Amino acid sequence: MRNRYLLSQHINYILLLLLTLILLIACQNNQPTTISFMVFGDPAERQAYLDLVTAFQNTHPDIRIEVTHIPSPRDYRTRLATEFAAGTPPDITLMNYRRYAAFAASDLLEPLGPYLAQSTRIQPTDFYPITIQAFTWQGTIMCIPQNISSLVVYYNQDLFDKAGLPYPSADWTWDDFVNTALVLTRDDDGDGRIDQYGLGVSPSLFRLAPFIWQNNGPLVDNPEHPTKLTLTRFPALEALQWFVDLRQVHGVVPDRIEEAAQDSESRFVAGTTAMYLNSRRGTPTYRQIKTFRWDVAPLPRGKQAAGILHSDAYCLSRTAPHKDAAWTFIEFANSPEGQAIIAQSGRTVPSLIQVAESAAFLDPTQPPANSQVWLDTIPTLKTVPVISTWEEIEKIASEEIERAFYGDITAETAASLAVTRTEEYFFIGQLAFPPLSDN
Amino acid sequence: MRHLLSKERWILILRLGTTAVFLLPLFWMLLTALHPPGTPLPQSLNLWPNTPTLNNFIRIWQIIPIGRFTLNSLLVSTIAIPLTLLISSWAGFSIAHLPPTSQRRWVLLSLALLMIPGIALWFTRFLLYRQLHWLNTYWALIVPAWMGTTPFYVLMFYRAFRRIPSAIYDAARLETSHAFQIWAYIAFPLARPTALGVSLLSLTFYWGDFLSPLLYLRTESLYTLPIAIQLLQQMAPSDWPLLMATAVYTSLIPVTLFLLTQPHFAHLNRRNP
Amino acid sequence: MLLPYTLGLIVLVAFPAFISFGLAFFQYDGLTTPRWVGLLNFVLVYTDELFLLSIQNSLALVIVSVPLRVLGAFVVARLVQRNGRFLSWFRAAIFLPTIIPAPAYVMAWLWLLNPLFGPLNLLLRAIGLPAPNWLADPVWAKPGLILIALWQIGEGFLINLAALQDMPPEIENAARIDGANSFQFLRYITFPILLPILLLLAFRDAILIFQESFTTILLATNGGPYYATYTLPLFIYEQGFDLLSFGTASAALWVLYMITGLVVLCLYLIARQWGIGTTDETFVI
Repeated sequence: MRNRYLLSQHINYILLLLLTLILLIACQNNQPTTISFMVFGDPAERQAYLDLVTAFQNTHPDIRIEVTHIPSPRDYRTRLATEFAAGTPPDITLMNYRRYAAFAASDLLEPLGPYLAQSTRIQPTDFYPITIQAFTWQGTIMCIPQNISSLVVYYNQDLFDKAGLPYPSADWTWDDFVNTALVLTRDDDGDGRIDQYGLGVSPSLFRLAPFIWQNNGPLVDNPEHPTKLTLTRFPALEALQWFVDLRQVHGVVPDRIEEAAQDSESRFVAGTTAMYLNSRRGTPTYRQIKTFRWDVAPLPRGKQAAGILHSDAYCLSRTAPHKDAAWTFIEFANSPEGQAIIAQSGRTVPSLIQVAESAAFLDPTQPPANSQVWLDTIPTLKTVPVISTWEEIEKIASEEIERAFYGDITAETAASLAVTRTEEYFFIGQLAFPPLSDN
Repeated sequence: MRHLLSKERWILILRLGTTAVFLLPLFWMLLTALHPPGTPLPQSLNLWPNTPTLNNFIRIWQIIPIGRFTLNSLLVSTIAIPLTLLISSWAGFSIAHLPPTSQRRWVLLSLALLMIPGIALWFTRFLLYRQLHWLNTYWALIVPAWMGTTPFYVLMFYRAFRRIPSAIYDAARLETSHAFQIWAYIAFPLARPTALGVSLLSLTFYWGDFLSPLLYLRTESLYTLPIAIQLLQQMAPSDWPLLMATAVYTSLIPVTLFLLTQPHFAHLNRRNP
Repeated sequence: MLLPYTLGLIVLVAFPAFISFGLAFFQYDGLTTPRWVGLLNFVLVYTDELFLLSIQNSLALVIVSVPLRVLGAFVVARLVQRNGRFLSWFRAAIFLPTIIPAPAYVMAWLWLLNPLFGPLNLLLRAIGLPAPNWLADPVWAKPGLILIALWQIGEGFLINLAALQDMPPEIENAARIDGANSFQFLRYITFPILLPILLLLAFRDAILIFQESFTTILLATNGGPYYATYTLPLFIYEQGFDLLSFGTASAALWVLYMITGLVVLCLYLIARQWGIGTTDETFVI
């Protein structure tokens, strides 16, 4: 009966092990007072925020900042929503101006205007006005914007040189843009499959919007009180058609299959796509490119020049237990010192005028050489409407735009589907929380 | 006799073919993981990389705290699997010794509960865990072990315990009247092949559990390996060598354990244990 | 000794299921107090085209993949049932894909099914077959998902194997003497004996697929292209965890409960018919 003893011994060990592990788990919940901070972004961006936290920790050893990092902005809202539902929202959240309204409308955010008013380190006037406006909800500044990025054209200088093309000029037009992309779209080995695309752009409402504005079209019927998208009206529809033609007529961007096989951003990084439309967000990752030289150019202009604001802000949760400590961090992050740290990583176009015009952002030793493009674009920037249901509206409209882009339906059909399918979300957004027309 | 021989050969070929089909995806996954990063994707069927490298496995470490995730996965598995064994074998043992009508009722109940899809419980469990302050703790991942993970394991044990001849139980009852002792000294040791099977199945479950951490965990330092894969996919959607390396890495422990214990399963399906 | 299991079932299964049943009549976002709204959630959900589409997609997936999986498991189990060289290794190899953690497995298939660079399409092109665009193509996305589900059939395989092993060899010998060929034997003897098990397996698999497909879909297609793989779990996930609308999510769950109820009923009838749970021989699951 040796077996018996063996087994009973084993059971003792197993129970002991279980008990120890359970105790270990029980203990690890006892954490010191900390401020949780949720950010999104790729690995390079994540590092930038870790650097910021380290710098803060050096001067404020009494406050511990715990970073939670979500890689995909698409997942971000789901994660954030669940956190709020769980009753444990992160104290500080980095949120885009297209997304914070849903949380502000549910009264989940602590307005930061009063904090900013009392600050001795930063004033509202230190910021580019459009960024403060974008984060003003019902007349109150809700969150502190960290950046004033916008959509630009990243381009592979080596591929331009190889094709004998001049680099894009500051006032290039839609036609220049398409012609450049056509020259750069190449089938090198003649197998009938394109090896190098001239352009990469994700087919979404947010990417399309600046081109609508450039074509003198409005995006929504009434920017202060939007009740529907106006994609079916002529200037917007014309811009949509032009956008769709990039794929359907000119074929300068990958089709759906090729995009699914390898996405355009990866193609740009791999050197097989010449131009890629992105905001400043791409810069930290592209700085790791060793195989070619690259720079940025402004968006081409249509009937007028127009850009689209990309801006994220530090928001404070209504239920955060240590609001003053959290504000100390937000204030630090948006002081010239803090914004310079993030700017140096390449992640942001600083929202503080002073930092944006400094070497921290315009560093000539780091690509892109032409960072000035972002600052030159600022006067022409526009924003999408800030309403609580904007994320759904964008998602649905983008689905239809994508179908037109890849040739499943016509631009007209996509436009009218996008308009009708989003109408109810405008209604919900308006119904609950009509934005004040304060400007 | 030649005819018979060729039939056997046919079966062998069929078996080899089937096995190859089942292994092919894993084989491709492994090959791609050895592909050097940064080079163009392989576009021919000659998938063996010219310069095979383990570099991708190092890159995982540079991008995400995979070591921490591995430890978390190990921790969850080492608590959940013994707990599962304990509770499911207790339940199976008890059911096997109930009067026949109750037995039947319990078996049918377990079968019925097996049919409740997990989706139905996602958010009510979320609300429950919130109430119990289990959200964002390891408990949220471990707690299914409390019901033996799934009634399926209970039924597996039930089946094993029923097959032990009643004479053995009767003899044991002469020595001790304690059900717990009979379980510990007689029944459980005899059901070892089943225990091994349940351990392996529950390892697969806890090691590969993607939904629980997705729904109930928030803090990166608590994440387990399945989430690591999602993180990397979102960070580098087209970096296939890296993603395949991660897939290989996360499969490493369960596959190794399975192959090591595999000889023992030969006995598992014999008619009489 | 049955207590922990019973308690666990009550707290982790019965109680949450009960709550979600009732939540369907409330508006609840997890933050404010629930508000009674009567049947509003049902009206909202059952008039939502996306909801109806998600059910269609789910059913399509289940109806095609379950028979394939169960029959596949049966055929493969039959193939490696009798003795032969390396038998246990063959069995191990068939079981191996089931051991792979689900997200890793999905990732591998996402690469295999890559329309341009994926090994599968390279192979298909090499032997001159058309190479579909799989998950990127609205038409081929569902077949792609079904294909992915076909490799992880280890559990069904084991159950079939056990059931086949449980058949007394004397039956086969007797049939051989009576001159039955392999097919006849399979058709008239093996199959009828195994039918209840195959049916049980099919029901269990149907429920499993409902759930398992979620991980695959979330990681591989996220419901796309253009809702081609938008299934009920995805709808419930979005309602519950993205929009924090637990009421409508619960209302959507009612469909699931109805399906589950039907399945359990069938199961009970089958169990009664074949006396499962009372006799030893046929009891496998």
